[in-house]
Amino acid sequence: MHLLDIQNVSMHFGGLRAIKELDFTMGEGEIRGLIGPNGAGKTTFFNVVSGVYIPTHGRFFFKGLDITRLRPHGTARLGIVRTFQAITLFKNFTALRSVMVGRHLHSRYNFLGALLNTPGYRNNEQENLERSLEILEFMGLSKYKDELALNLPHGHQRALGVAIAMAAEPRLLMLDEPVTGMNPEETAEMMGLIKKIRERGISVLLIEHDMKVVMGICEKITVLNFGKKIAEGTPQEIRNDPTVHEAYLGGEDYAS
Amino acid sequence: MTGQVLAQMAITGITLGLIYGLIAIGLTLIFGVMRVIQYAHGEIYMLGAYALYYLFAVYHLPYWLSLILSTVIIFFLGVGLQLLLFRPLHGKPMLYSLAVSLALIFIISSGGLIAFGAVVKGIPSVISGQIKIFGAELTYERLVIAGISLALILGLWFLLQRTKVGIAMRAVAEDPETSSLQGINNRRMHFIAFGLGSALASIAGGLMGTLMFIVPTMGFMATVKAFMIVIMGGLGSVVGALVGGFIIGFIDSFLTTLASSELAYIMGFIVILVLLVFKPSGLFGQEWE
Amino acid sequence: MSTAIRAQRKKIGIVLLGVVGGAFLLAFPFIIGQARYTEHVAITICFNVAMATSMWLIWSLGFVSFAHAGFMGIGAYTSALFLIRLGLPMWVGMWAGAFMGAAIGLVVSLPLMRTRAVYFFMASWAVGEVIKRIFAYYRNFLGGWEGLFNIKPPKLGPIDFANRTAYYYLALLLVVFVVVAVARMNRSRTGWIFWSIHESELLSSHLGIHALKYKVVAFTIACFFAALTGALYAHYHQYINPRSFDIWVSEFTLVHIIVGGLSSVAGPILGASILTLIDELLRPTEFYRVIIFGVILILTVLFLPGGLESIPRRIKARFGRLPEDQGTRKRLLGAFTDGLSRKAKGGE
Repeated sequence: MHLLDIQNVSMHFGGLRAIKELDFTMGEGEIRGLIGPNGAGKTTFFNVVSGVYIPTHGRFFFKGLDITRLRPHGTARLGIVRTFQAITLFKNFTALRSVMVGRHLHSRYNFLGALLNTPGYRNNEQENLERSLEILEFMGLSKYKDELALNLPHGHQRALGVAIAMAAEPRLLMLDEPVTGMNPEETAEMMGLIKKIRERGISVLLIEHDMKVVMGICEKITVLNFGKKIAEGTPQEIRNDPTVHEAYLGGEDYAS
Repeated sequence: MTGQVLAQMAITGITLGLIYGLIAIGLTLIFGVMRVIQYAHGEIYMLGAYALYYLFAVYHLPYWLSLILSTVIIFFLGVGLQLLLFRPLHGKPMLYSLAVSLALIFIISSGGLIAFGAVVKGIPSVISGQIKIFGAELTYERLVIAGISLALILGLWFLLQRTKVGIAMRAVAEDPETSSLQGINNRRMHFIAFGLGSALASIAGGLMGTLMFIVPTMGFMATVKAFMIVIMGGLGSVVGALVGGFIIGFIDSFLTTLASSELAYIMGFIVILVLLVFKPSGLFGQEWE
Repeated sequence: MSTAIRAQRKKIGIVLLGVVGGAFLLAFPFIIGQARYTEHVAITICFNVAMATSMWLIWSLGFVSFAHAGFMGIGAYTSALFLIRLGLPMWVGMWAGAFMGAAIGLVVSLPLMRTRAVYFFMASWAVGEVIKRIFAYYRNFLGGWEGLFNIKPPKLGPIDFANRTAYYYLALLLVVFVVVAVARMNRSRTGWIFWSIHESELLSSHLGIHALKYKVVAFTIACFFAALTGALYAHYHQYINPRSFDIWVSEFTLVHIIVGGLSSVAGPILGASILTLIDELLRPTEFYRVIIFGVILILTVLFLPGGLESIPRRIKARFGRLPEDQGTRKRLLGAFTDGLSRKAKGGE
């Protein structure tokens, strides 16, 4: 059984066909790259999978479960967590608080417990705190734990976005351009982190324009253009694929 | 129901629809171009009515001059408000503009009660005589007022579709970042939009005041109706404001005659709430965050 | 000074403040010699603080509800009718009113919370308006525009709550209940969830937070508190009419929370208290007091966007411990660049 199984999915917005009859599968433990020129439909794809949009046609499955009509809180509950192309954070929360909120699904939150400050609630929050600190440590953000998200430098804001996603304990982590605006050091760090994330048993689906990153850590790459899949294969295969070259001509910088 | 009653209701409905349309278009302009909630829009409407009253009925300037002058005064008042109060809030969350315009309501309506007194006044008619349509009375005055409203709406359409200023305003409304990159002076557009929106409200106030009566608390209802119409028609949509204006105008006219103004009021709300359930962005609204 | 010691000092300070403040509040009627008018103002402050605090709860999710006064009215009318028609004392009526408010709030919020924040304020306005009109419409049952009379306050053994001093303690109990409940909610994970929806519904929903559910919960609870306040209001004034619960009341409550500050529970408390005092002081000036309210609001929005509660922070930033490095300074200033929506810090 595939981890993610997209069957003949289309996403139309009025006259605009953002995704056309897309078939896509992904297995557990993969680091999959999703590339394509601007406007190819990559972020729309994420939006469909995570439940921001309900596809116009087609169905898709997560570990065999039909999740076509699930909304974001539903897909998150199943273990599909994503980050966003534009930096999307809780601007006025500290990094630590942000990650604590990220743990929502696994925080054993109970309204009455929280209201009455029961020992059970306090114990849970202690555990949540420890786990959150672990995640911040893992992402290299420990020293920023009490900084407001809006005050963090750009690269750390992106890292925080990933940290928050990690707090939700994903089975499938979908990263939308995680290294945009990062310098080479930060980029290399993120690449290492993504590999470590996979070592923890989390599958990763990665949208990225930086080809070094994509070629560097993805075992398999899917290429979209104009909402359709035009190629799929190993980095080597994709690098040499003439259709892919053509798609990028006149648009993206497709340096290998 | 006789043809006469029907015709009368239709006439009232059309007149109200046009005037409501004017107020609503003014509001939707302000909101569309600046994403500002001008909760005090109805108060501007009230000020326009009183400006006309003072110029025409008290200082005895010719009606037409009074109308134009009052509009110009309120236009600049609008620009002033934008400059002092709303400009500094640019980019901040909507709660700020709501708060500031709420404060304006307090100040203007209470100020109005102090300055103008709570007595209901009327603006004397300039034109007399009427004709009969399907047995219903249509005063020339009402005809002229409807005509002025229509002319203004058409003029506005022309402005927005054919002139540089209008197209620039629409560009700012649609995409402020791109419009400024294209060389449009966003700031100036904001001033013009606020002034223009206020001017429309002012004229509507004058016309309604001429048709019926004026009282310092008339702004409240105008605000309610304006927001109802703008939300129904879709925030930022001029066509929507006009269509919504007619819908509310007809509901008001028909239900007030047939039942009560209470019912007309409530029905207006119900229609909007129902509409929002099916079309959350209004009839012609754009999806925006 | 280390953060730990600073935190402990802060805690001691708060406890001290609580004890002194609590003692003052409890002794208040006797401090002022049971002066009737002063007690009236104090009771009014209690009601306004309760209303402001519950409205603030709704704000923590990012919404402004103009229906709030309407729900106060639901509680007031229910409790009044329980006494007038059913002969049941306020002790029963007030809970009936509170639960009625909550129930209607729940039903109304289900469709209402689906609208976007911009439309929501108008939709909530409509709800409040409809509620008021319903009160006014049913002459026989609800008293119409004339309202309901003879809403007698209850007795408890030897204590007759027609005595204003006794009612003061009742009002005090109400406001403490509401404030503690809201403060507790806000401080716990519940509050984090609420604010996360406020900050970014997109992100929080992608973390498994069912935004609609929490919006409905918060709104319902807020309506519960508003209705409870309404019940106590009814039995205090012993007379209510639809105009007591119209849009102006909701609008004034909004002014209370904006002027007081929107980022912590201190905001509504400060705002409602101080503005109610100012309102009472200005009562003889009639229309001018409304104008002054407007001016205060504009001044607050333009020059003190964090509200009254942000004053200690601002003083500290300007005169207090000088920030040693960019980071701390940025943190202090970052805290009120977005004035109206600063949230609590992490690590509590």
